[in-house]
Amino acid sequence: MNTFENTPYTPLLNRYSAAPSGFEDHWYTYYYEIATVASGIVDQFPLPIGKEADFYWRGVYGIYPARQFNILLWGPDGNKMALTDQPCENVIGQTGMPGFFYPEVMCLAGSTPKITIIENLGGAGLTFKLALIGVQRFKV
Amino acid sequence: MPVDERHRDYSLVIGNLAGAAIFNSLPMDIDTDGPFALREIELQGVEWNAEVGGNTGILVPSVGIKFEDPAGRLLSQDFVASLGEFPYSGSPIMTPVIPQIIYPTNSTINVWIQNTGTNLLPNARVIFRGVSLHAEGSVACRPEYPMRFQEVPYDYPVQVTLNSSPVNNTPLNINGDADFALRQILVSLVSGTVSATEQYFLRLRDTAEKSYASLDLLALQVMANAPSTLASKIDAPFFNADRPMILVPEIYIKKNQTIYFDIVATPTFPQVLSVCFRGAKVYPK
Repeated sequence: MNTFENTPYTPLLNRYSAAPSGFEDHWYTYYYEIATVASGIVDQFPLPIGKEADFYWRGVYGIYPARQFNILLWGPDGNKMALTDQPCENVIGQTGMPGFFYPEVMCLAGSTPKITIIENLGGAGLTFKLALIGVQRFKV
Repeated sequence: MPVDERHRDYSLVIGNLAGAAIFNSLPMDIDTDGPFALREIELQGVEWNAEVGGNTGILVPSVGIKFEDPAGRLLSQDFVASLGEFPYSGSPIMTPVIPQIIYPTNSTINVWIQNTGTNLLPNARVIFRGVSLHAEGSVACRPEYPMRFQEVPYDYPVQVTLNSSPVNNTPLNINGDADFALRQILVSLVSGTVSATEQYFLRLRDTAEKSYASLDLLALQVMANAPSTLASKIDAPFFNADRPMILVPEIYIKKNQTIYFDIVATPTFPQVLSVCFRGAKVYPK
């Protein structure tokens, strides 16, 4: 009789890429401050990536008031990273705790992801603070 | 023997757990469609004691449990307190069970639970999370990756308006450009108010409309009866980006297919929630 054996397992851990031979990864954070428009839209604000190395984008966090903004991220290839805009809280972790996604997004050196910010509650003059976290991959 | 794993939650609803009460040998029945591999445990509806050992401001969850393995052996000699072993309600971090424990088809997990505090806990429940095991190829939404593929992270946000409860059969429609591997669920409040004693539950059903849980897949609310010192947590009680609900194994939905979910909640109506289904689009190469 076939049975299900109690075999060892490890929880499914999505693994990001490791630097191949000849390359070295360094943890890096790209930080941006974006002035928002009261009850308006900041559409496809550029988040430029430096030209010194490719950037493997793995998560985002930021500082923003609760339920103030909807956002939509755009990858470096110009494609949306979600079907529609959604509350910040679904995408961007707060107080230094990032929201991660898998797989990582490879941003070529000099590429430009973007963000669209929709201000919902009429808070004029708010600054949206955003950090993209990941690793820069340098050739050594 | 090759098997398909399917995410499975079992909820043992305790209901009212009076102060200092002990419930012995509560049965949690396993379904008849396949064995259940237990991998995580969480306690929900757990209260925080305002004072421990005379030290005010020390907040300690006040529930302990013990439970049996398939052979009927208790896996601890005493009640294990929820602080030390099992996270408080609504935390996305469930206690892992390593190695997994496989309960046979149609078996029972017997649970003992104790309220070590003085207050009644009206919404206590124990969540057993793991996978049900099925013959290979027999379940819907099993991973069927192409031989060569490229993944791209992607979100499907769905907005749900709560004017009453439950809100049933909300569809998640997958676009026609790529399959979607669902790996996380996140929830945010779009409008309305949330108080400490409200509860939110989500039922998720696959393309064959079979549920992934005996009752509800997850409780979205952080905690009940939270003291004022933790009031800041109430502002964002749901599974936000920094604490998502992770689905293991992932739920693989082919392009143009639809899965469904229900929201069961007891908030102050109306409310609007944004439920984000996060994962990856799978493009064949």
